[in-house]
Amino acid sequence: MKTSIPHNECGSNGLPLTPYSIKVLGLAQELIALKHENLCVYIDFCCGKHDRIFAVTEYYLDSIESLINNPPALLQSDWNKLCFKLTYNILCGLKYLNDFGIIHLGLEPRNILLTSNKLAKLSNYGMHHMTDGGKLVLFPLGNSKYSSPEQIISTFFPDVGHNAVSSKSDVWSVAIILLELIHKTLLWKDEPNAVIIANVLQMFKFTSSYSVLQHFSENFKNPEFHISPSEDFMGLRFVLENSLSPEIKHRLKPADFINHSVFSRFSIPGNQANGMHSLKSYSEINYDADVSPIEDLNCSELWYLWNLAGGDMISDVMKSVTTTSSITKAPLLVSSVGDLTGLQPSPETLFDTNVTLLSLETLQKRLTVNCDNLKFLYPLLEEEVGDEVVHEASKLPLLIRENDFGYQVYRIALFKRLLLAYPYLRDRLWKEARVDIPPFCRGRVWAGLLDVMGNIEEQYLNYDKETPVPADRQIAVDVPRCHQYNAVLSSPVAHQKLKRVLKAWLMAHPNLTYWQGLDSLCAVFVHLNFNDEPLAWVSLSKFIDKYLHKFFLKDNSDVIQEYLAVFSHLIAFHDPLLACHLNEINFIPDLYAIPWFLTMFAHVFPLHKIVHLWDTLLLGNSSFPLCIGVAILQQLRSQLLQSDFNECILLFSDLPEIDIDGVVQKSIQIFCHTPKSSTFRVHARKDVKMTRESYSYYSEDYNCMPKNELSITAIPLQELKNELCCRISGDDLIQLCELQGTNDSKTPAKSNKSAKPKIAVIDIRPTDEFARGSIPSSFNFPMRGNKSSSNFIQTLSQQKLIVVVGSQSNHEDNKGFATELLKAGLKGVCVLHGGIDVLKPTGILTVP
Amino acid sequence: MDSVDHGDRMFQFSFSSGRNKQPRTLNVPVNVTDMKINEVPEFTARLLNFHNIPCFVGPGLNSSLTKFIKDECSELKNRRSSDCLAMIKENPNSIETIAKSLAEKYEKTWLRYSVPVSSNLNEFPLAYHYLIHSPAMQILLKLEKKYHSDLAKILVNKEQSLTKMQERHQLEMSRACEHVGFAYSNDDVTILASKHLEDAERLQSHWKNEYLTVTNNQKSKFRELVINLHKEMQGNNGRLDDSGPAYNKMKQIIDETVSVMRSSNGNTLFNNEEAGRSPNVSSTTGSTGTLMEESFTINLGAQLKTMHNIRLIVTDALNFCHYSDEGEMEAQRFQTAMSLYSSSLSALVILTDNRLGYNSSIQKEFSTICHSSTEFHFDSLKEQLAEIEKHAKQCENFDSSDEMKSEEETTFRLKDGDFYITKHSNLSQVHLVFHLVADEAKLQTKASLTNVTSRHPVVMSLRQILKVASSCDVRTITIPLLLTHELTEEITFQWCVKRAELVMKCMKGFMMEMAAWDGGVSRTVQFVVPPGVSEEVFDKIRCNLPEVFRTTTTRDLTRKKLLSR
Repeated sequence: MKTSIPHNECGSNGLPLTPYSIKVLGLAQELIALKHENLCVYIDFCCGKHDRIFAVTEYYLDSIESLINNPPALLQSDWNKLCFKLTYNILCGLKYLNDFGIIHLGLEPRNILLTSNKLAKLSNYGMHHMTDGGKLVLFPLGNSKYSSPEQIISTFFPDVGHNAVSSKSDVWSVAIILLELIHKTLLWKDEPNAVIIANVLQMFKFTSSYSVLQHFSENFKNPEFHISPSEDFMGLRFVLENSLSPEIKHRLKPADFINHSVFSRFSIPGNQANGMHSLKSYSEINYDADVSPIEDLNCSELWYLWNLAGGDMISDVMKSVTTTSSITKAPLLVSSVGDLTGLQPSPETLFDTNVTLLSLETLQKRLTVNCDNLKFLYPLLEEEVGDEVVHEASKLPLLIRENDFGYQVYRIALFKRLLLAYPYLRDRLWKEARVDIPPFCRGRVWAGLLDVMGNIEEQYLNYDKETPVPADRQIAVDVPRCHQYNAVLSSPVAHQKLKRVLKAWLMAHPNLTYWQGLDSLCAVFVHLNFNDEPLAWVSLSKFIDKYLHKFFLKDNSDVIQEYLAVFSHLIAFHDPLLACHLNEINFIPDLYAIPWFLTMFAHVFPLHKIVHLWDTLLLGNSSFPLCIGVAILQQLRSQLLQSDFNECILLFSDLPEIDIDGVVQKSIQIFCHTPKSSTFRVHARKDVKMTRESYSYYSEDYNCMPKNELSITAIPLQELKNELCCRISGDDLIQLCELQGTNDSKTPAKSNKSAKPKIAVIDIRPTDEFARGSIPSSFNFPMRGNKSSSNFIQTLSQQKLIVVVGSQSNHEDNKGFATELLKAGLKGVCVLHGGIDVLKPTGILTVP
Repeated sequence: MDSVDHGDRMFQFSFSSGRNKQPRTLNVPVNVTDMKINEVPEFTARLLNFHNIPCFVGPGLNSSLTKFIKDECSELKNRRSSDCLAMIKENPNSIETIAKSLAEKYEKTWLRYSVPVSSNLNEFPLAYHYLIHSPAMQILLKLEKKYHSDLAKILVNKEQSLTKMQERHQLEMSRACEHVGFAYSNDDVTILASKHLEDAERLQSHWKNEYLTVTNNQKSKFRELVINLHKEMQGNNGRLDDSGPAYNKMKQIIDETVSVMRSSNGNTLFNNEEAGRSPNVSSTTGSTGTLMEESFTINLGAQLKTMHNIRLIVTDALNFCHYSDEGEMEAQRFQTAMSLYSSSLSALVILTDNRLGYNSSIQKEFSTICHSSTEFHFDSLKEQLAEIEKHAKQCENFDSSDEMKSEEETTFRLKDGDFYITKHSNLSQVHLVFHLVADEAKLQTKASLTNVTSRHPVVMSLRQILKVASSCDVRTITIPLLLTHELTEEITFQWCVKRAELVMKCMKGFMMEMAAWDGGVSRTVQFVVPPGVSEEVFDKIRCNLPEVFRTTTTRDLTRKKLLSR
């Protein structure tokens, strides 16, 4: 069911131009979004080797050509009726295309396909659009026999013919096809192409469509024009007479025809009938009438699963065409400016209209095997939780799961339903997203996770994306440099989309500005929602609101400095050795981590890694990116520990390959072992209404929680930067040590009994003060006058969390002591914010 | 006037924003051909925002703007298309030319209209590719080897008879010269000299013919056998048929030559000769063979990284062409034959001077290597060069048709940075050779250090070479790092290091660009440095290489080890 359409080489010379094939690929993406009952959907476009583009489309074995060649035995009146209906179908398809500013220009009987109930579907309608009117390919468009005179002339004289072709040129083609249908023969069947072209051009002589019609009728071997006074026949006559004029001003447009009274009987009841057909027509891709799960899938799902099931379209196509070996493709002589001469003609460089059918058999078989457990194919969302089904593959690593056919069938089916039920089932969506997100519906799932709601198309429409703004220059510089290894993103269409989304975002956030890096963020969303700009835009906005609050202010230095300070605290908390080393060589996060956080790593990694990272990132709170940063450092740990300042700079300027799965796992681990109050930031977003209930201690955002006297208060930036250790708030400490014991909603879900002994509270006040009141089960280790701390440190090395408690007035001491612990290589050191004094009013202090 | 109408129009819209307010008129410039119908709502929204128009005016504005664009656009198109028709109305005779050239264009670009490629053109490559990946590979290679040694024998005989003749001539001549005036007159000497010349010519042409007949014979027989054996194997479920005629014919040829050699005792002679020759060859390779070498694995690309291999080798560039000895020959032959029709070819870049043919020493040597065995798959080097010359002259004619130069025909020259490509199946490690036109002498001077920059045509054409290489699936490419094949006295340590750095940096840029062309295929780039380069130079280049290309280090492996523990 696929067409292969190879396009020709690009003549890129001198500058690194965008190859034409990439331009075509970008334009072609827009075609995927077109859906109409009289059109065969374009499912995908693949760019193969040597600039060949393959189009994957819906396909039916029957076409008008086969109908003409083997006409069914019908009464003349029935035949006319059929012809009339088909004409209407074709015109409807054309009108839909015109509404998107697309014209066909390649109409011929063989690419008007017929479903089993004789519904005409246009295919191959994208050639004119995706080649920018033929400018991007070497071959002329359209079959000359069905081309109108002005189309042929404009192919031959592109300068004069510029703007000469329109939807009325398609109307001419429709008329020729209709004539062939009526006569049940193909016109000029064995004539060479040159004669055909000349024949068409000769039409200029005629001034009225009637004479053209006469002329054509004479050209048919069987010139009898079955005149019958029926309504259908009069309709056909009307169509022909209004479309076969050499002057296009005398032709009607597809829309004019459809609105005309001859088609009136189709317009109301007919539409309903056709609507039902279209529902069924998806299932007809599979020629088997069996009731099988395959019929519940739409074309793009089928295509995705077909690939997962081991389908390899390009090699399938290659098998069916003659190929020449690579060595013979070399040219003989190449001049210094890059002109090739002596190329052997090879069939690969030619435009191939042939269609290769891709077999759905394997897919069918594998789906049937999967049918065994119906719950996977038809998950019931409102079931009891206890009855949950667990797929056998769910324990496997992510990469395997993403390529596991059966598992993806299940996940896609599940997420499809969840997305349909969004936002009602948003909580369930969150829950399932924690397992994993199927790549097929990632864009929409992310939007769901980001709480996208409302009429986003309308909102997007109203933002001005054209008027120049000061950021334009920088955007124009950045966009063509952003993730260009991706074929689709490197096309001019993608550049345009990125620009539009960025500008819409800027218009929507007048207080924020464009910083380099925003393009990378945007590219991820545009990549995922290529044909849905509004969704990309709204996802981007929500994402920035959540994770990059205030980062894009005109003066963002305070925000970033605070972020980085917290980041270095976090490094110290989890990897004291590394933190000390980096401190020693003065390699501060400012030198490497700004692009990390400003782009949420989108600038650092290739897209396929970013999506996996963000799958997890989107589930965490706004502090989660910090953990990812620490996890990346952990992977580079051994290299960093051996490197001096210069080597570190070099290392980060060209980051080695990072194992992203490892980073994800590690960052989750880090996240779970970090007291949430230690990631407190003044500049984080606070005003969020908690729209959904939190699941556990960990998914809450400390920055969003209501504050009390025990919470962390704003710390001046300078002080924050000077500190090595992070701070923990009083309420956090109480919660983690389960000092209150009351069961409120904030009870940590994961801190079970085993977690408790891992916490060591060290009270460094003098012994007498300690005796007057202290936190239960805390150690007293007076700061002043102690002898050797090494023994003491030994005993602490097993602890997960070490909280240094002192008095508020002696904060310098607390810091100093904590730093000492750090230098000794102890993990999990933090200082109680505000000292012991904050706990005094709570009444939990006891006398030891 | 009409030809510059690009569809710019002024759209006028009057509306009233309230019962008691003044009607307002909006004048907006619109390009009716650029604006698509589905973009109109967005444009309307912009207008509303910009002109501060109440939103209830929106729908009206939208629909009238849509109608305006539709009408204006179709009006414009009507006019444009009648212009088109007018063109042929004025000149009805042009129809024929248009039809002819358009039909030709269709023929050249549409598969449906193109002349079908004859299938037997593809038959031999397919058959060979199949056989070389099958059990028949061994016998095929044996056959090739036999043919190779047959030809070698002829070449040796030719050499021998030529030297013998020369000796005889010399003897006769010296005797004649000694006896001038006695037994020989001056005229006799002249006659003798011309007779010698004739003799020499005759013998030369004899051997030339002999060579041609043998190679042609071998080629046609080989191709025939391959095709037959392929058919035979396909008939036998892909297994070798011991009783098949083609198989036995092949065996017979192999055995025959052996027996002939044995019976005529030419075997020993031949072997002696071969032995006499091959030490010669191996002694040269011994001194010029791979002296120093270092391999690197690099990652290129900012976000998505592609891995490539880079080898730095000190050796003679032609070492990639000739077989150094028998044992190695088989292994290399095997490798090269297997990948001949695959999509991972290897190529070599050699510098050549601006005349087609083989004037420079390296070209001469190269042609000797090529002609030392029969080219079964492609035209011989000579034929290929002739074909290239034909094409080159054609281009030349197109380029400078206005300035007619009669001598141009005889002294045909290519420009610096042009390159031509020859295809080979009988070289040891390469399939394609890029002959890059460069004035080697100029590239070797001291001044070239400053002259030759990244914009130099020879450097720029490395980019073109990579582009062509990527378009025909070359996976291994060998490039002369210093852009020269031999060292001269002018070449200093500094010169080498600087040149190497320039070429490496440019290559890095080109390779990164290449990733965009072919989607990041991993490939091997070999940099050859001519032999005779000092060890310090090599060390310096070896140190510089990882700085230019960021290498992946072995650290990754140790990390994995740690993890697995």
